[in-house]
Amino acid sequence: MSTIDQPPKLAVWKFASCDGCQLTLLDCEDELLELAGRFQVAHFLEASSAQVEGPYDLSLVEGSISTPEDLERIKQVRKASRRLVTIGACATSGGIQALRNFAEVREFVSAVYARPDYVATLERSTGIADHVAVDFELRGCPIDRRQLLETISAFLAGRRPTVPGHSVCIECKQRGTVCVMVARGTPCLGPVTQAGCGALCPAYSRGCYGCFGPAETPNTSSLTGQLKMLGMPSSEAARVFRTFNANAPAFTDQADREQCS
Amino acid sequence: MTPQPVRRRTLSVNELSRVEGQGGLRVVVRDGNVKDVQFRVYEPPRLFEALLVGRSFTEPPDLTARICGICPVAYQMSACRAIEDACGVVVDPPLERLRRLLYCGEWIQSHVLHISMLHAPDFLGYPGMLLAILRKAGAWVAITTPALRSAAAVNQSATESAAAGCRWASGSSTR
Repeated sequence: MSTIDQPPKLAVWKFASCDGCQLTLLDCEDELLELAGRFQVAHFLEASSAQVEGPYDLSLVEGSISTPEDLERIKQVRKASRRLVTIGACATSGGIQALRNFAEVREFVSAVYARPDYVATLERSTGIADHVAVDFELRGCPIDRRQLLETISAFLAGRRPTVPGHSVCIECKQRGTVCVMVARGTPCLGPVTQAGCGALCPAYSRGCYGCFGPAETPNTSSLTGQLKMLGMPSSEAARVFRTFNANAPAFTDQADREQCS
Repeated sequence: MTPQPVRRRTLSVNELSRVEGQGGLRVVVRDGNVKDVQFRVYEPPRLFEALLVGRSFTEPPDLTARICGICPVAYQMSACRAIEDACGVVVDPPLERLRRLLYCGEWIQSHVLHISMLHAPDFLGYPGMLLAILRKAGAWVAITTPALRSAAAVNQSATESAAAGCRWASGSSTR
C-alpha cells in the first residue's frame, strides 16, 4: 500500500499491440508533470529504461494475449499487481489481430512469414480478462486521454472510475452533431458502440466504425436492419462488426449471424 | 613475453526501452572487436498482411493505421498508395498536397516525441524523460506540496538505483 511518503508504483505493460494506448499516457501534456509526481513510475519501457521490482499498485496493461510466452507473462503481471486496468481494444477484446480467430492461423502465418516455423503464436488473440482477473477495462482504439486520466484519478482517490457505458449517439447529441445516418444515410455503428471518443468520426461526417467496442445492451440486430435498409449487403454487414473489437461477444455474434444469412 | 588475457565483454539488454515494439539485444565483444550480435524480436506477430485479405478496398487505411501507434499516418498513406497503384489511380495535385501536409504533421509530431521523450534521456543521462521533467520542475517552479516533493524524491532515488542495476544504462557489463 502507498502512503504520502511512498507514492504508488505505476507499471505499464505491453502485449500484442501498437503502443498507441500507452502513448496516450505520454501525450498527457498538461497533466504529465502532475502524474509523474503522484506515482513512482516503476515499469514503463516505452518511457523509461529504469525498472523497479514489484509489487505494483497500479498496472496498466496494453495489448492482447496471442503467444504462449505472453500467456505466462500476464499471470506474472497479475500476481505482481494490486490493481490491473486494461487499456484499449487489444487488451479488452483481442484487438484487430483477433481477426485470426475467424480464420486458420497457420494459413495466416504462412502468408506473412517465409519461415512460419520460427513463429510461435496462439490460434486466438484474446483480451486480458480471458486469462486473469481485471479490475477495470478502458475501451478504445486508441483509448481516450480524458478517460485514462479519470481512471488514474479514481485509482488515486480510491473510487470506481466514472466511465459511461452508453452509446456514441449520446455524445453526438451532446456536441450537437447532426446524425450522419439519419440525415445523410451514412452507415454508422454509433448506436451500438460505447461512448468515450467524443463522437469523433461523426463530427467529421464519417460513420462510427466501432473502435470502442459494444456499448451496454447493444441492439446490433436492429442496427444491422438499418444498415441493410441503406443498401449494405450481409457480407459487408458482417465485416463492419469484424474490426478492432471483432472478438467482443456482441460484435462476434452479430457478424456470425450475418455471415450465415 | 606473457600472453595478454583475452578480454571478452558481453552487453545484453533483455528488453529494449523507449522504442515501439519489443526486442532484446546481445553483443559479444572480444579484444575490442564485435564478435557476435543477436537481436531478438519477441514482439508478437499480428499478421496484418493476412488479415487484410478479403476486406473492402476502403478499409486498409483504418486497419493498417493500427500497425504502429507512433506513426499511424505512414501506414495509412502506404495503404492508400497501394490501393491506388492496384487500381491505376493518380490523385489530383491538391489532394496529393493535402496528404503531404498530413504526413509532415506526423513527421513533426513523431520526431518531437522521439527527440524529447524517447532519445533525449540517453543523451542527457536519464533513464526516462518523466524523471527529467520532474527534476527540472523541481528546479524551476519548486514543487510546493510536501506530498509531491517526497514523491519526486522517491521517484528519483528509485529510478536511479534501478538505472544503476541496468546494464544498458551503465554502458556495458563484463562477463
